[in-house]
Amino acid sequence: MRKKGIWAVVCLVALLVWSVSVATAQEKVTLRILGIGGWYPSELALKLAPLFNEYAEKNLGYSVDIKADFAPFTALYEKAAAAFAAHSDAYDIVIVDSQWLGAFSTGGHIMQLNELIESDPKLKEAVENMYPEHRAAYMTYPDGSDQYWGLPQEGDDLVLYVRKDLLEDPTERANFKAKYGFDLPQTYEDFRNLDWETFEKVIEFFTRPDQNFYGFAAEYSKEYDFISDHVMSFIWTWGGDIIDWNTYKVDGIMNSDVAIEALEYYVKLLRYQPPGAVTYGIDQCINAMAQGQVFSTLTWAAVGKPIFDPALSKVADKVMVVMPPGKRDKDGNLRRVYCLGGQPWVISNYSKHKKEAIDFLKWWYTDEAQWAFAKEGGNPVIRTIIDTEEFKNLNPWNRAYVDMIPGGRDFWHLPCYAELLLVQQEEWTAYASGQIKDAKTAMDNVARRQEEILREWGFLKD
Amino acid sequence: MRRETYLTQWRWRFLLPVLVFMVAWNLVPLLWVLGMSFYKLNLVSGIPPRYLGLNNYLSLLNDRYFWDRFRITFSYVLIAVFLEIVIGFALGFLFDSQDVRGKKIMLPILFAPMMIAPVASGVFFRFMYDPHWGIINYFLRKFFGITIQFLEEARWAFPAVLAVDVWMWSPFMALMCLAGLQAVPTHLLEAAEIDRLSWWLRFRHVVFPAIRPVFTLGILLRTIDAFKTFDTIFVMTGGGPGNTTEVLSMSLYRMAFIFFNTGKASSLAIVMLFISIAFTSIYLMLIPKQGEREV
Repeated sequence: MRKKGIWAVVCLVALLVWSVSVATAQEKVTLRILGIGGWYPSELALKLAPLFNEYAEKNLGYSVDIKADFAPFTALYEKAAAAFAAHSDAYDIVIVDSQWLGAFSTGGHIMQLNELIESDPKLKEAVENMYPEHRAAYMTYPDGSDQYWGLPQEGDDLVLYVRKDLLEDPTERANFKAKYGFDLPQTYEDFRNLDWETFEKVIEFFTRPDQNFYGFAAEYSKEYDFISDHVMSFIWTWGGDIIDWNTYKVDGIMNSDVAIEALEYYVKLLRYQPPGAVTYGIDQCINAMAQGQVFSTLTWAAVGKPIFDPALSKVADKVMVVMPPGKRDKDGNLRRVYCLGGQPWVISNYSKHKKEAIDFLKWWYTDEAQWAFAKEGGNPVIRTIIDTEEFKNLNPWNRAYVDMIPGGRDFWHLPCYAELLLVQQEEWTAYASGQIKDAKTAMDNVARRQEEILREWGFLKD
Repeated sequence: MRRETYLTQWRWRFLLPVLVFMVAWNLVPLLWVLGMSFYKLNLVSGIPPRYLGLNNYLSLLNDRYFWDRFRITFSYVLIAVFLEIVIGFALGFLFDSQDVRGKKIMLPILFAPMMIAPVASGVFFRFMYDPHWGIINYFLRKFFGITIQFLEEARWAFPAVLAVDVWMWSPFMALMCLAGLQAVPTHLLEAAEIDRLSWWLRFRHVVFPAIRPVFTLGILLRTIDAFKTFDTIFVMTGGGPGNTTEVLSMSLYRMAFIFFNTGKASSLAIVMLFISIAFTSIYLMLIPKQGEREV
């Protein structure tokens, strides 16, 4: 009898433990995010995840465990596309590059967000509170339509990091003026009005190979989209374009005189850069700047943090971030159209936690989350935040980041994006490295090969 | 008779696991790839596969960039294997000589490069070639006052990646040569010595016939391996600058896993497979028949 009583108590306790564990397990949701390895803004999404957990427990009645998987830019598409092609639920949210929206949306792999945005007043308000350039780059496919597939995880654009200490140095200023007959630019406003013709003199002045010091560093690498971001920026800034966005005709546009001139100019800038700069990507530019090897670098606002970190940089307190130079037209107006960076995140159509993924994205655009992101060094996209002086003064690159958004442009979002990109990467690096001797041949090759791809995909009709 | 049937039955039972493995892992995927090569198929696009017949092959063969990569790959294979034979056999004969001391220490050191993972070797050489702090450029600057952008300039990139292959795999050919030299019958060498044959005649009539099978096998293995080189080049240059080091295996990778152009990638894979089969057939023709080996 006594034995039976003990057994009854044991069973009761076991039942209690089991029911509590089941209840806890039901409330805890695991969200899996695939992000960009070695890319600070992606890593911040995970770093800020505990804030979402607090928010979810308080406002949504469940707790969340956010797990992240990372792959570098070069391998991210392969990883995401393979998971999507297998209809895998391995990831609920994927941080993608904006150019992939076409491939993933036409394949039916990601959730269309229009209904969601329309049905949620707060999210709708957040989306309306973004720059139109950001909506076009991070959310939309087909280009120019109102079909939304992603939401911006972070905004980004090309900015110019320059050595403020050298620009302010009286000896350097005197020597520069003696050589060129005008003053070195010194302030943010000076750079706002600067054109490439003038800036080239500045970087020429600071190119001192005997001291292993150079005027400039930019991206010329064949890896991923590194050289394309920059060459396209130069083509647009020079007044050209890469494609007829209505007919998808490339011939006559990509290889127009102005586009060829822009490519020639960009490659010419290699003479002011360290040996080996023809293979520079983002890391090498940041490193050259942080190690005090170059006077300036043209790279992304999102990756500037290490330059200002005294533990990583020899020039942490000597750098200012400004708008890159523009190109002056015949009337003297300055044109400045640079590539947008940044990434959207998308919700996988194969996710088993779509509701929680949606909650997470809604939370990301709350003022609290966007400010937390900004304070950690991220680039938010909500205008009521980024247009404030408080934000512009928060990080050294913030002002230039915001000022470069209007007019900023993105790649094509077409499903054949990867093929179109590789053609540019091959031909432009071939020209930059001397494999192709003239810019026109490189541009003619790009135009012909891209038209073949666009024709094969059915975009270009003859 | 009953015993033979019994043995036959058991033979098949023993062979069955291997056959199942071969069919599941080799034959089925191969036929699958062959089938896909006749379709327009992109795994990410969500568009249903469309039968194209031989169009993927035709478009490949009409693509001048394919032929350009074909030329790069063949140049890579021919030059790398030739240099590996020359260096490997020189090393093999050197270490076979009785006059070389410290062989037990030197041989493992000689074979070390081929034991390193190709990716590690690629990264290692990328650092060594670096124009700023690479050790090769350090010595070039110190002794000749020049810096060479090995992986950055189009004219240097191909020889630079080729040198890594030769560095890695010449020891393999040396190993094959040493193995072949062990098989040279001692009595024939002694007879050649008594007949006072010249070095060349001794090599031609005694040594070479004995090492020929191993020599041919070494060439075959290196040719097939060099033909599918990917990892070292991928980490060193990514196929660049431009497409100076873009070998076929790299194009296959991009086509299959970057563009997810599965149909066309399958056709390229089949073409590459046939090229490998052609290499093997040449080897089988060159290898001496059992009767020919008798001296």
